[in-house]
Amino acid sequence: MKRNDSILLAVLLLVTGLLFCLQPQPDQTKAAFIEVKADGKLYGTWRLDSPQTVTVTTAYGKNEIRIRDNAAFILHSDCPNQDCTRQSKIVNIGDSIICLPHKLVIEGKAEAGAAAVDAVAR
Amino acid sequence: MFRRSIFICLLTAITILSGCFLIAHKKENPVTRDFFAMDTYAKITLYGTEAEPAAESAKAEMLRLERLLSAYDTESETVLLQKKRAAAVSEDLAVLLARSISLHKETGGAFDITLSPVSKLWGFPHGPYHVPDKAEIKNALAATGMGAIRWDSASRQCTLDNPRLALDFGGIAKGYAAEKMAAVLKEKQIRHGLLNLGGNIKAIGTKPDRSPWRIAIQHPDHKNGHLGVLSVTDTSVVTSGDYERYFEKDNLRYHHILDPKTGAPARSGIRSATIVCEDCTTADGLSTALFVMGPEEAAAFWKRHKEEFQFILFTQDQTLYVTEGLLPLFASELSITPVKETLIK
Repeated sequence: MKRNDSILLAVLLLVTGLLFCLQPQPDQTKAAFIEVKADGKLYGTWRLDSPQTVTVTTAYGKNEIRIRDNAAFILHSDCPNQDCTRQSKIVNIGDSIICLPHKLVIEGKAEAGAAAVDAVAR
Repeated sequence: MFRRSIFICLLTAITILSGCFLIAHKKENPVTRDFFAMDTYAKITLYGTEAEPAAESAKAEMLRLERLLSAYDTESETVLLQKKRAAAVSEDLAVLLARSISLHKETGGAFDITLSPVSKLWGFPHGPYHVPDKAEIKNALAATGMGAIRWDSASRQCTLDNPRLALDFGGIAKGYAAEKMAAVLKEKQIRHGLLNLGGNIKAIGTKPDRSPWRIAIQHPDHKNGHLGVLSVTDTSVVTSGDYERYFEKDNLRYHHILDPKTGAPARSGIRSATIVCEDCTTADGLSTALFVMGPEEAAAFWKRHKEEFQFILFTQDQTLYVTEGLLPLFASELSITPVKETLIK
């Protein structure tokens, strides 16, 4: 192997290694967006880094989801027991808020490639 | 020339190895189904070529059991049995009745499927919530009692001796459903899957990359936090806690896990009880029972049945108890108090 070949090989390996290390590493626990499902069907997804209030209206009723400070929670619901409004904010991957009377599920989701737990026993 | 050949060989080897690495770490997309059944949110996650039809079959199985076991559907077998007071029951109901009766006996009455009149008095599960007085509780408790269930396993004949008795399999039905769904998936050759029936977890095999499933245990006080994470394969993980279904009045929290002796929310000192064992029906029933028992009685019960299950308890005084069988599988940032057979009187 000529000297220049060795240099080329070393540069190639170095560049490959650098590219691998410089990949943006997503936060391993924080959710990047919420996925909202109504009666098992996808209603929509919203990023947690864009503050807003989302109104979800289905045949079962209305829920208002407030997104701010990289978290989401139910601000208001017209369901009977208001259990969903007392559930804690979605911050982490896998966190969820469920409104049973409205068959509504809001779940914290990861950026693609982020690791998380597979389920939460509760 | 020879050196150049070595160089080309090296480059080729690096390329091939990189390709192999990428293929080995390529993530297989799961097939998922999520739906509402048994008054909860259920999620099926499966891997494999037969995952699509298998997920449909598992979902159908849960919906079938819901129609059979519901305490609120006037056409369910459970409600029809209550109306008739005596009947020969289906195989599913027979299994659940027999298991409920044995769990009731084993747990000294902490597990009870006849508490529906008391639960309804408090407003669980559908409201409106209400704090009853002693007379109301006494009256509702008179309509309960597993002793009023006469059961003949040979003929599958069930007779309810108390005319006010109502059956509610809510404390065990999801676990049973998970077992039946897992059996369906086994028939379909599914080797990697996760059933999450409202927080009742049934892990089937490993993840597709052969690593264990990572199951977090909800922290009772911090909804965005976990007590820790279990790494499990082919196992059931079920938690009962005072933080999922409750209401507050005059700064007091009233949760849905009732003590069969008092007819009031169990104040045993336990905030959450997690059971880990192979059979999800057992895990479901025991998570409620151990919550009602309290930490000392729960530890003594575990000592007698340690071959059957392991537990994680989080108590009012913020202690995290973990039985010795789970210590190698459980990672937590909190301090762990190991529960060892030798430490229990």
